[in-house]
Amino acid sequence: MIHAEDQIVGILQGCQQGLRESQRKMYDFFYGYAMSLCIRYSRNREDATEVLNDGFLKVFKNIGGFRIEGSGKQVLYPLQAWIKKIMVFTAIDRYRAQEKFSHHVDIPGDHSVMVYPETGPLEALAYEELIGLVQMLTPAYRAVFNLFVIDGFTHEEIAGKLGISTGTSKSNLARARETLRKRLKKIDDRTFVRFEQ
Amino acid sequence: MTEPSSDLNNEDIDRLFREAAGNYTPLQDAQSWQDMERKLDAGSGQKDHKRGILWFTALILLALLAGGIYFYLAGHPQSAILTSDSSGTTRTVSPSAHPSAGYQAATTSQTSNPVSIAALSEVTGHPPLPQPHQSHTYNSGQSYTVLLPPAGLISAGVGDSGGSDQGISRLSASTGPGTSLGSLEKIPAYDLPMNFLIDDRFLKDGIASIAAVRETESTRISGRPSKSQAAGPNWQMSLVLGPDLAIVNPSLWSSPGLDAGLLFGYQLSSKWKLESGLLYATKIYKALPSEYNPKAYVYQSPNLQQIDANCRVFDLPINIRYNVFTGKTGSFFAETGLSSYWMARENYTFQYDAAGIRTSDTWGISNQNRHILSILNLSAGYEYRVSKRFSWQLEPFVKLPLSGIGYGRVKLVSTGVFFSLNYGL
Repeated sequence: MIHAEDQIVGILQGCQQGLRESQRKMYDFFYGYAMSLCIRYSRNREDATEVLNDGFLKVFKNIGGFRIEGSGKQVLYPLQAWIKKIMVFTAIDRYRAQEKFSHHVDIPGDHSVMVYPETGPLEALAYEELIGLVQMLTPAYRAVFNLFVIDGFTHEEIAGKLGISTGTSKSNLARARETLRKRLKKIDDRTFVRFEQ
Repeated sequence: MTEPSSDLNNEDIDRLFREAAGNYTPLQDAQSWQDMERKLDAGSGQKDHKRGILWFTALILLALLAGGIYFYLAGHPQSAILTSDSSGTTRTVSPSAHPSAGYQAATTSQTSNPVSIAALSEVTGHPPLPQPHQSHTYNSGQSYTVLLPPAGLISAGVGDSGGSDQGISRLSASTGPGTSLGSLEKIPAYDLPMNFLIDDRFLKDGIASIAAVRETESTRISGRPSKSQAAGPNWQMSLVLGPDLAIVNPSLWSSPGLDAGLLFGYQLSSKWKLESGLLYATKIYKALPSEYNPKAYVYQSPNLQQIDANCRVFDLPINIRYNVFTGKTGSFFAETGLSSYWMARENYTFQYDAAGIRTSDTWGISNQNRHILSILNLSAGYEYRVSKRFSWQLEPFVKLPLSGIGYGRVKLVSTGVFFSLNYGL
């Protein structure tokens, strides 16, 4: 287990030198963080893995430009923020590339949540369930919801990144919220029934 | 998660999913790193592949060039040098086996009476030829290849041509005195296998005429230049000036820079010329961050949008030129070769987008990067001869990188036009 604050500078320098072992360590350490980001921008885990690996490719290609100033948290947090930006941009690029091929309709029918084999505590399952709900949004709603609600971009920034108007961004956000609210209600109903039983 | 979702307002929805996003950490599967590693290997393999293709192309071009030179020289052999012993028996030796290679030769065919060869006297400044100077007799019915003396070799006087007057007169009648011989290498007389004397009747403007004679209806002289190409200077100096458009990304154009310099050329033959020198070039170009592959980065890339470069480069070309067509007053030519770049100064402006605001940062280095024989030169043009020594020249060119150039190791292509003023030395 890497104690990141202690080893991050060494791993970073190794990546800047192109050392494969250092790249692996960085990949393993940031995998969970980056995948949690990529998966909510993607339709499924396979897509998310593609986004993740493309993002890491950019990370390793450009990591030489990351200035190492200080040590420990002084390096870790900016690095994490930088990786996050790359992952978000990569996910958006993929969305824009696939935009014209996607159907902008909600997924009808069964809204069963994906259950991963690695079931854990109820809280973890709930978080996973919630991310699953985001995944089921249409690509346009999903992109706007992630960018605005979770990653903190403004509607103007979102409009610029996605090539849409701010009005469309706001509209998509409202629809995303409404869709999620409806789906949450269904989950609530299932939970209520389970508890009753 | 206990609140009924129907009571959730927008803020609650947002908070709920933010919390989920912040706490959800997918587990890594065993296959993920292997997939990542394949992507990393594919990326470096593509670079190696492209680099390999460039080197292979450069080698093929050089091989074709070398082959062309070889076959050209092989198709225009310098004829055997005649030698003779005291008995008068003649034999020939291959010019390649003799240090006097570089002479143009006349191939003759003997049909009847014996003829004599006028001999070339000593070269000015060199020791006298060993005595005696001999004239040489050649038998009829045989083919001989006669060595012509180089331009610039000056006969010191009338030689002993024995009984050859008649032959020399006939030759002079058929070819004329003072026939220009083109550019030939200067060879000391004592390097010759036999001694030649030039009758001063064959001297004109200090240039020796054809030395050997034969009685024949025709004389064919291989490689003799046309009258319009009288033996001119071997060396040429060129002042070069021209615009230089440098490109890394075809969708990002910059204003052209300027190339200026001095080149020296050596005429190998009427068709081939070797050229080298020094050019000072200004390379102005724009590129995306993804097109940069530096050894060590000096910028942070997430918001980097574009990099503008302005570089001062010393360009040392080594080129070979071939005259495709030569007219009365000018020549069309094609040229190729390799250049070495010395990056004297590299200035880079990094353009960032921070929260929608464009900012920039500048950085520069000096004398850090050199690229030896790493640029392929391709050009073609036209040279107009104003006089025997002066000419001007127009030469569109393309310079293709065989490796990454400068700090960013970018694929820098240059194109433009050279205007040259040439002077024969």
